[in-house]
Amino acid sequence: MKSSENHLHRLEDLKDYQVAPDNTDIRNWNVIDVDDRVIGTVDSLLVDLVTKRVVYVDVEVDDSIISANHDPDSSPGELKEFNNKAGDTHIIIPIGMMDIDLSRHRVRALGLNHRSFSDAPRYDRNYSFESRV
Amino acid sequence: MAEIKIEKKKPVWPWIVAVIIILFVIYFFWSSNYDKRRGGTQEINFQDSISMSSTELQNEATSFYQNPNAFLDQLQDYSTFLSDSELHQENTASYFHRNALLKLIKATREQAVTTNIDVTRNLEIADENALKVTHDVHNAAGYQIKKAASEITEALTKIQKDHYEDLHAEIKALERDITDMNGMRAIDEQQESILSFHRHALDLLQKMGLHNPAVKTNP
Repeated sequence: MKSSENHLHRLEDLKDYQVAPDNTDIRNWNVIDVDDRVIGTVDSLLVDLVTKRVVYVDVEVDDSIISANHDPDSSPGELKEFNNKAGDTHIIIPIGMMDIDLSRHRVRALGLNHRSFSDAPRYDRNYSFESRV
Repeated sequence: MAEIKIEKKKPVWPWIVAVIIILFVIYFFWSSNYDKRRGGTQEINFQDSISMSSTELQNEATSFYQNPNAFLDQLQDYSTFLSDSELHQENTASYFHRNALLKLIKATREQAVTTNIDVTRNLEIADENALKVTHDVHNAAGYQIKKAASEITEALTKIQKDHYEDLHAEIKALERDITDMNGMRAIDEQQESILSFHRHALDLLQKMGLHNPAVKTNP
């Protein structure tokens, strides 16, 4: 499905659009989990042009998340729902699961801890995010 | 739970157009006041009063009989302006040269009326060029002053030949001043030649005035 069909776009790709003046552009802000651990940085905002709202937040995860998910003892035949590959460093989080901390310029992921992030499926920024969404 | 709205960017070009319009308006007012700052409003009023149509010239000719001292009045005006300008150096070059020429034209016109010599065309051309001294101060003012001075001298020569044969040397002095003027040079660079022309023109008109019938009949 093309992004134009589901109206989902990266905000930086939309040259005619910007975050509304009375709203906060959280790009490049740190993302923390429920335990106040930094789990990454907001890389991009995925927006719906119909509702004119940010729907997902694209987070570039911290190295600690990537290394935590790396399990060298796992057997090759073990079944997994997904496999994160090298280069998969981005996570898509619904905006509804985020809380913006204006005073400290950071975003808190509600109900998600470090393990939740390390276990979450990631994707490569250079490839389409829509299959994940 | 966060919510972030987006909106379409407002186009920038209306602001650019607005800024350009504002700059244009500022430039327009600045340029329209440029001549006033250099010469003052007085010279504009003077321009309007001195620039006359053919009908007005005719009216002026008939006014001689109502005011036989018109020539002397204009001569006095011209003389006073020249001497005042030497005292008030703050007047700009364009203001001085234009108004000096216009006053000289007016005095010459009165003298032509007095002596009944037709120099209308010469003085019209002189008028046109004198009036351009302000409007074209940066480019051709030197040429326009020389052209106006030449026409005035031609008019004075016609009057001199007909009525004042003994003032031949004064006409020659004017011609030398005109030869010294360079129409291609800025007026600031040839102030002395132009001032010399005015001094000689005033001298000539004053000598003509001594033999003016109007002086004798109306002391």
